[in-house]
Amino acid sequence: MIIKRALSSSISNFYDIIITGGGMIGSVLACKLASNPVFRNISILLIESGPKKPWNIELTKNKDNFSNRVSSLNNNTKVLLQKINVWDIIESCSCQDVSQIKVWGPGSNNISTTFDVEDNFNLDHLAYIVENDVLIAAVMTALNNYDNVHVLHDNIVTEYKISKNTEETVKLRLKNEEHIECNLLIGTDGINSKVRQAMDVQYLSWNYNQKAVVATLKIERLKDNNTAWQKFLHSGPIALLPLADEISSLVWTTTPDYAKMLLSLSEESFVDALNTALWKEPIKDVFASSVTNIVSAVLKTLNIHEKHEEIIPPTITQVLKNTRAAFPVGFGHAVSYVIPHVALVGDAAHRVHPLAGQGVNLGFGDVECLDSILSKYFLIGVKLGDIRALREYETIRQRCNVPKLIAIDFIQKIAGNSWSPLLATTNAGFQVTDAVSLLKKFFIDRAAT
Amino acid sequence: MAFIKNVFSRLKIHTQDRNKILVTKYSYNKYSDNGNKRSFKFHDGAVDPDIQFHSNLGEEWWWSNENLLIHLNEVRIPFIINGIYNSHLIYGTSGNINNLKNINILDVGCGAGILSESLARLEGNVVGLDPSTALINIARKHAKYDFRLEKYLRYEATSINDFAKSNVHKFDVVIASEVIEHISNKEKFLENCLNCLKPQGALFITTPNKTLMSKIFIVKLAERLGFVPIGTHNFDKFITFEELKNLLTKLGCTIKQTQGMVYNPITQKFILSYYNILMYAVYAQKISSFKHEL
Ligand SMILES: Cc1cc2nc3c(=O)[nH]c(=O)nc-3n(C[C@H](O)[C@H](O)[C@H](O)COP(=O)(O)OP(=O)(O)OC[C@H]3O[C@@H](n4cnc5c(N)ncnc54)[C@H](O)[C@@H]3O)c2cc1C
Repeated sequence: MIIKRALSSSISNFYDIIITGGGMIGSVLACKLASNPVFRNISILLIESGPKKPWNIELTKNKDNFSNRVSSLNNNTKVLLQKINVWDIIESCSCQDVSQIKVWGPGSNNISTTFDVEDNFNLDHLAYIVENDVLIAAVMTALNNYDNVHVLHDNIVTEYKISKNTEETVKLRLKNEEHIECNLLIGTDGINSKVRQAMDVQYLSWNYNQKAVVATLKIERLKDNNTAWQKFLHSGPIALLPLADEISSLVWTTTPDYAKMLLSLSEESFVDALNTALWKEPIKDVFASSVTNIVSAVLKTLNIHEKHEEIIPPTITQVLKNTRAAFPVGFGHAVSYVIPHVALVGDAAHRVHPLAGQGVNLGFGDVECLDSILSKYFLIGVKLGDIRALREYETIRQRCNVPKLIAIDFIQKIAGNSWSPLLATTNAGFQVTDAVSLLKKFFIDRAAT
Repeated sequence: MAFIKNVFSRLKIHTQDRNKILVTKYSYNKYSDNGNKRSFKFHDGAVDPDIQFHSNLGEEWWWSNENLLIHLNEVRIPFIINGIYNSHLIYGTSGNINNLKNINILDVGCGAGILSESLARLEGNVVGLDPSTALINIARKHAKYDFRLEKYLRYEATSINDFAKSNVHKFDVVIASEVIEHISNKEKFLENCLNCLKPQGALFITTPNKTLMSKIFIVKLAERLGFVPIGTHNFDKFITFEELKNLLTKLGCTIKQTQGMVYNPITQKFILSYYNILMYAVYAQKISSFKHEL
């Protein structure tokens, strides 16, 4: 038997909480719950379909290869990871601080809107760029400290039995025919969540007809690599996220055809295409700059600190071998995050366009909220999986997530190509400035909470 | 308490819920029209229609999300735990973690076990007591859904009068939550509760207040809305905060803490408040070890 019981109980293979999906969200959730003293006597099982990564924290230090999957983490996420003693491990491996974000687009006359950490509240940094694998490896290391949680790799749930009788446990069958059950099943299995399908909840989704091309880049050294760059093109935004001194990570959202072409290019041609996209002279547009001025004046009255500077984007010198890949981007939102005994967290519940770097941060917000609500109800003797606690989680998180999802979708639509026929009569500058001012709200929001 | 439940459920008016209420009402009428099939007797010998009413409500207590008693847990359990932590009962608290390990608790008038289960989940040794066999059967059946309860929870279908005879000075904590307003001889009832309590033990009582407000909201409004048969509810059985305080003092208790409880029908949540005109909670400590006459 692979499953070792964390605690003995009268029902074999019973866990209080089962989390399916050991990505960033699932693993952090497991760690957050396991480290909560309220839950020290309960049993938690984390099931991940992928193999156990041969990651070793020591190996990740001083390494010279960088993963192409990275995330920009905000300050709330940092605080969460600090609380579960994961942040120190991440920082000791590889984590790049972002102290400046420069956003620009065609028609903005090569003027960028800059968010600078010095101007914005008392933040240490605006964001932190961390490789997804490093984050997961750090959490797995931290999980070793808790004996109330057990991690099962290379396994998958083949059957979900969620009873209509709200008092019954959730019963699961695993790939190896083993049966397990739990009071609370949490789906952190990403955008194609099987848990969500088993819950049979309504899921609102659409595709942007875009692909995100990711890659790890070598960039020409300016000074410190602490700036994140984002340029809005009509085909989608290009983002450069600093990863190390001369290394940045690329997220280039574009049409599926162009993405396919970009992946097939030689390394040199790819670098050329990227530099051209970043440096190409925008169309001069008088009307656009006057709109920019109006928007800036409005923003000043709102006390939002930003600067306008002439943009000098970095020059890409090289794309690292075998780091190019493309991912579909889309929008998705589960109308319900919960049913009795089951909850969705992270991308399983909501999926956003990567342009605002919010996806996983929203999921970490879910984690924090679910943990605090579950423990609140646990402390008054409510059974785990009780719908009252889950509904409260859902209400709080939807109130927080939905406006952000809508705003990100809106930014995508006005800045991206999907509304071009509609917006052909207006001009590019207006679209971009609007998108930028909405983006800014995110940074302010991060600072405020 | 059941009437408050109905008032607020009714105010919310979901069709689905309304059907449920109608069913409840119907079964109540059926029983009272037929004359009671089973009779439930309290110590004072009076057949108590309240017990019959609650028995018929039965299973719905657990299945219905409307159940105000479930929501009431959100305030009465913190009140009880706070009292226990402030008493001599728990030494060396483990931070903010509610744990009632090794504390013997008697839940008098436990009904279908809504409070008993929660206290047992916090690992207190709980005995749930109710004179209605029907309700105790539902409570026992329901407890089976959580195997962890087995070790901590036991139910008995008997009256406090009988129970007290063989359980003198057995419990650290005795709770009578939303019960005393259904009792005719309150002094006798409290004496029985106190007899089960160890000297220095903690007694917790929650009940509606006997005020003009509670009469308007709990009795009149409920009757006017027509789903509580007129005359069933006996407002005279309600007890004011002052009366209860005096009674407890007379029986050798010190009042340690009192609190009002208010329900917000919009958020569907109870809150603890200074405003005790509708409902209140009392924590009293048994000081005199004098064994009351049985
Ligand atoms: C190109 C790109 C760039 C992005 N950049 C950012 C960024 O800068 N900042 C940001 O905040 N977000 C970003 N995101 C979003 C972010 O990656 C996601 O929000 C995040 O990965 C969600 O984490 P998750 O754990 O919920 O889901 P996932 O990462 O999808 O993890 C799901 C896990 O569940 C496992 N699994 C799947 N099915 C099963 C099953 N049936 N049983 C067991 N296990 C299963 C999978 O193996 C996987 O490990 C980006 C996304 C993309 C595509």
